[in-house]
Amino acid sequence: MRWGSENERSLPQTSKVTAVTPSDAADLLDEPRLVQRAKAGDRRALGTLLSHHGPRLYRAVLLPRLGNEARARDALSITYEKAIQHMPQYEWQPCGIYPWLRVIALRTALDMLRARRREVLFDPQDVSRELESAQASVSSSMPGLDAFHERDELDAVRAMLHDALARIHPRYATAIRLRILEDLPREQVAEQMGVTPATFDVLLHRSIASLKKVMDVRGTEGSEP
Amino acid sequence: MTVYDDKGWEELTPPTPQEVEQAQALREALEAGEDHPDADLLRSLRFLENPPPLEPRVNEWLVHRALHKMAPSHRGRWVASGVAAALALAAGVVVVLSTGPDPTTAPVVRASLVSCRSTQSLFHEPFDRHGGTSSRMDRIARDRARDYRTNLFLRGGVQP
Repeated sequence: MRWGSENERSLPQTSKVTAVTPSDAADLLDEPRLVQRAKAGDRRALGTLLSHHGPRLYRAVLLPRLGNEARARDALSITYEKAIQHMPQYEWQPCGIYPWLRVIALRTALDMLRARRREVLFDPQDVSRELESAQASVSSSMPGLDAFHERDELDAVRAMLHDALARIHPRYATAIRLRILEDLPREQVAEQMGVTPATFDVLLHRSIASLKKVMDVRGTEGSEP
Repeated sequence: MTVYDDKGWEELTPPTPQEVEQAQALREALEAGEDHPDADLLRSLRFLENPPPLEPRVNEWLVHRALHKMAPSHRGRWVASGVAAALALAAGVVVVLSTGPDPTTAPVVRASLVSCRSTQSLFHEPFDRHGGTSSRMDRIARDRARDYRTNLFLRGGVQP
């Protein structure tokens, strides 16, 4: 039985990730006008803005950091509520509303990470640093557009994963890559790695133990002033 | 060859019995989709590598809920309770719709539902004088529970 088969159906191919920039969004939505209406209390305009940016917040910000679909949906829901609540205070920026929503989403993710025991690659300090950087971008008048490509956001979290895998034994990294990231059946991975399925189970178990050590080291490095 | 003398270990240390046991627990948790700290961490890695998109229906519902939740209430608490109940119902519908089969692709199940009938056919031999009643009831309950599940699947468009 392949444990990830349900997720697999909904997984899009990496190459199909579309780059959406604030300018794309503005072209599609006439965003400044929508924001103006939303600030004036137009719920329909507010709904349009949230509906448009929400999927990207979920996929590129919340899901990778929270590592769980149910928690990411909860976080998105909280992000929407906070955005609605603070919309009157929002001031339009040339980069669009997405960076502001992203800051709210990161803050929500940070709160949720702090409230739970560690079970994802991201730790609260990682997200805290990202939040600081995102807040700085929003407060500057014209942040670099690169930061707001969905593809770049996804690449950044992938880079973090690949960096962690590069720090563990190559056989352990291969076990995780084939079995978890590529979702290949256990028996096939075992054969590919030249071991029995039972040996592969131990390899995978050691892989995760090794990855956790790397995560702890990273957390310690991040906590240094 | 056992897990302990597999040549695949090469330069790595062969496992201890405790490690083998933990590895087995991890495998079972991964395969069954159960909660397990290490399995959860491994699953979370997939969302770093290739996070799946949010279903549009779920997104629309979350937006809708947030907008209604934040709306000023002038009609008292009972109205809010009613809205919450309606949203909870809508959530249930969304969950059912999002997890149920796609009506455009799901095969049409033509079988009819299992209907009510006599329990006569369940019994071909007399029951014991002592304890027989319980056995009889158990058999009826088991059979009817199976009918219920069958009907549930058929209504969802799934041939059990």
